[in-house]
Amino acid sequence: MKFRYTFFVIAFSAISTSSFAQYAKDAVRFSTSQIGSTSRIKALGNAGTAVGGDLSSLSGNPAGLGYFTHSELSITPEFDSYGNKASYIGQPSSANQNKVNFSNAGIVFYSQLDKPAGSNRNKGWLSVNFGVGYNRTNNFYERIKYGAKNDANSITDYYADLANGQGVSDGSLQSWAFNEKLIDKYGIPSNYNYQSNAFPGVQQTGFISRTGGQSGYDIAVGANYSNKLYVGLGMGISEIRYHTNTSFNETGNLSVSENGIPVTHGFNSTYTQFQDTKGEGYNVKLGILYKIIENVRVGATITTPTYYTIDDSFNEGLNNNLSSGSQYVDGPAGYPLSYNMRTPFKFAGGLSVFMGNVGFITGDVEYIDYTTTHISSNDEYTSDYDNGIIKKHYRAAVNAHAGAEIKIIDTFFLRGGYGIQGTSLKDGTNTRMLTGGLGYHLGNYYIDAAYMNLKGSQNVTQYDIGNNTPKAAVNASNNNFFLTIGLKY
Amino acid sequence: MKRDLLKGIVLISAVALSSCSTLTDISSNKIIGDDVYYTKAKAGVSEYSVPEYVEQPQLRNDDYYYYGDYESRIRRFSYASPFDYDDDYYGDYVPYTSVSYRDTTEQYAYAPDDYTYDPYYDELGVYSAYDFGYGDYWGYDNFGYGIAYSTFVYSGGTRATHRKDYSHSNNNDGIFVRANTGNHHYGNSIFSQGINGSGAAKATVPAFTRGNTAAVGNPGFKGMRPGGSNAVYPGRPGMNSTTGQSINSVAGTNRPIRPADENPRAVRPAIERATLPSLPPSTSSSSRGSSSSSNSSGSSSGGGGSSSGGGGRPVRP
Repeated sequence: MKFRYTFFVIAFSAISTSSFAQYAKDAVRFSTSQIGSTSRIKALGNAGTAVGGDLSSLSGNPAGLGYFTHSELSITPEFDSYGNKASYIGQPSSANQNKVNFSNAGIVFYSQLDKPAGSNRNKGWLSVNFGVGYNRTNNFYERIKYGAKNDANSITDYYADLANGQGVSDGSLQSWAFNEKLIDKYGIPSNYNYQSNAFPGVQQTGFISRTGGQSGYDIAVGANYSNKLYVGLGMGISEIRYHTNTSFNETGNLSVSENGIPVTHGFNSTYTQFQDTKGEGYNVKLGILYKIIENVRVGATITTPTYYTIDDSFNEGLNNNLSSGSQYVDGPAGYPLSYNMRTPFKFAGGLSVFMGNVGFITGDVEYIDYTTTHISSNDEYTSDYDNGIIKKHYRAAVNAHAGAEIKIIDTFFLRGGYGIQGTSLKDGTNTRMLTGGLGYHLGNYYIDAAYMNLKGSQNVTQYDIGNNTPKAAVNASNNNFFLTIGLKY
Repeated sequence: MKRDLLKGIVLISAVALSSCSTLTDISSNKIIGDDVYYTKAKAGVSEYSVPEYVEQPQLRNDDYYYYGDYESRIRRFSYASPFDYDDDYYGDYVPYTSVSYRDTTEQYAYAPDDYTYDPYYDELGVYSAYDFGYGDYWGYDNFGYGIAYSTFVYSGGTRATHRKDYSHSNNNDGIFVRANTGNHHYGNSIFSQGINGSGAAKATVPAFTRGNTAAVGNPGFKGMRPGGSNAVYPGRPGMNSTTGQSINSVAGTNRPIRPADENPRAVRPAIERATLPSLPPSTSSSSRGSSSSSNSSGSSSGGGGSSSGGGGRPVRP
């Protein structure tokens, strides 16, 4: 699925180029979830706001449930293949990963309303349909590998900067670096500062592995008024599972002072970070669909912020081995925190134009102001810094989707779509999505298949030393396949 | 478990909602149209005809039933009967009327009511506990769920499962024990949490333990915390959170300052970093995490990391 990829890439962008951090990036990352959908809607660029009559309405526009004139259920597994190509100091590298996930499942119950005999059965409230669904709405899977020989700087310069700027209080990263002989004080007692002990020309290798995603459980109801106006209400429960494992290895030579005499040793140092985040949240969605004329539909949804409760655990550690045989290990030091956050409101509007029973075209836009993402303070954490970062570095984004379906024959459908997922970062890049699909509907059974390709880019920085900070330029290309099997009854 | 509960809600909702739907025979051969296109819903036909209103003859002032009579209305209000209280025929109904319907304020009518005095409720403690929690505001606030739950329901208030508890837990090696002498957050003024939230027994006196006693050169420290909240572990470097001065600085005591010409790299200019808008303050006097490193030829072990819960993780690129 997905859009998760989209998100995924968006999340990537959020990670890149930002030397700010802490919880702000995660809060925005968790705000980039997408609408879960069936293969049919995915193949249309995920443009489902103004379609209706598809189980995607459960998590998209709940008014679309009002289109159903029967009960229906479907399931959608997915296969994801995502790859990253990185360039670091001119050195290319790549990493790939494949994954099978459960993308979507939904069921709608048609509930016809009764009218007294003799009244017009085509006017007024005709049906109220209920449904429940599961959707995977975001995918954090990612694997990035990069590396090169760096003659200009070293992560030990970053440790030295931290020591000069923040001191070397016990347990700090810079104190570990000092303990492990990666940095020293240079100068005279009255005027000194911390500097790297590494000789220029270090071999650097970075590795990032992320797993997890966001899932949503939706309960929705949609009503049909005179086959003209459709309204819907949905409630969503969201789950977050996010895990990262980051390591940055550096090898080279160190100048170590032994009894006042500088001695050169080879070194092999690795800085590691682990994060494990889980959360649950809920939101409410209101939707409407209206047939301007029989062939033209307009739709709109408003989704309230999702209010999450997050449990976050972050750990970091540092080790260094010298060619002399000395080995140093510090950490991991843990920083667990529970906090509450809310995502932005989401507003979506769409239009569909039908061409008889031959096919239709549809499109929608979604507006999300990421600057309204908010993290709440609590007794153990003050969120001013992170909320300030969110307002300063993020922006409002527009996601646009469009697609078309055409019936080749009565039972065979051909679909295509395109989407742009606006970046949440002020200096980020958009993610582009190309989709296509086939559908075969036979009797009361149907099979829909969809393919989605997402492309995005980001810059990854493992340490920050100002303008000379080396960046790994990462281009992501994800290929996702979806297969929906459904039954009408 | 919470997640399972949510899933259960969804599942039950599905089952419940399905009972409201119009289910046609799933094995029916009837071909159902594609609802994305032009299918149209049609309302069903009610099995019940609309009740037809038939005007009834006016009964007001009916001499027999006395309905329209003002006196009978008063009687009906008071005695649930339009008839005279002293009516010979209905006289026997007086007890029925007065106890069950007439006087709802009479304690006699409700005094034996199980709802009010049933000892079952008292034993359950719901009302008593609830009231206690509200009445004692500090208790409600600090416990999150009120003393009511801690005292009556869970019998203790150790908060072993509370989130704030989790934030002080230690998922790594080493031990972190935090005292709470200044408040009543944890019922007995003491909060103790073992490795991986294993929940060590509560201490009976304030205690602070830090460091990894297994690490070389780090014997660890246990006992009363010397010097108040700004103190650091004896012999260990740290930062006085009030004065900002280094204490037992690693840099100042462990290794001499090297002459600048020994620097293997060209000296880089100082980096100007953006001022952090507001770094979260630490709620604990301990530093962000503790560890120790030792250098013995061959190998060394790292100290256990611990968490202070002091404002979350450090800022990293």
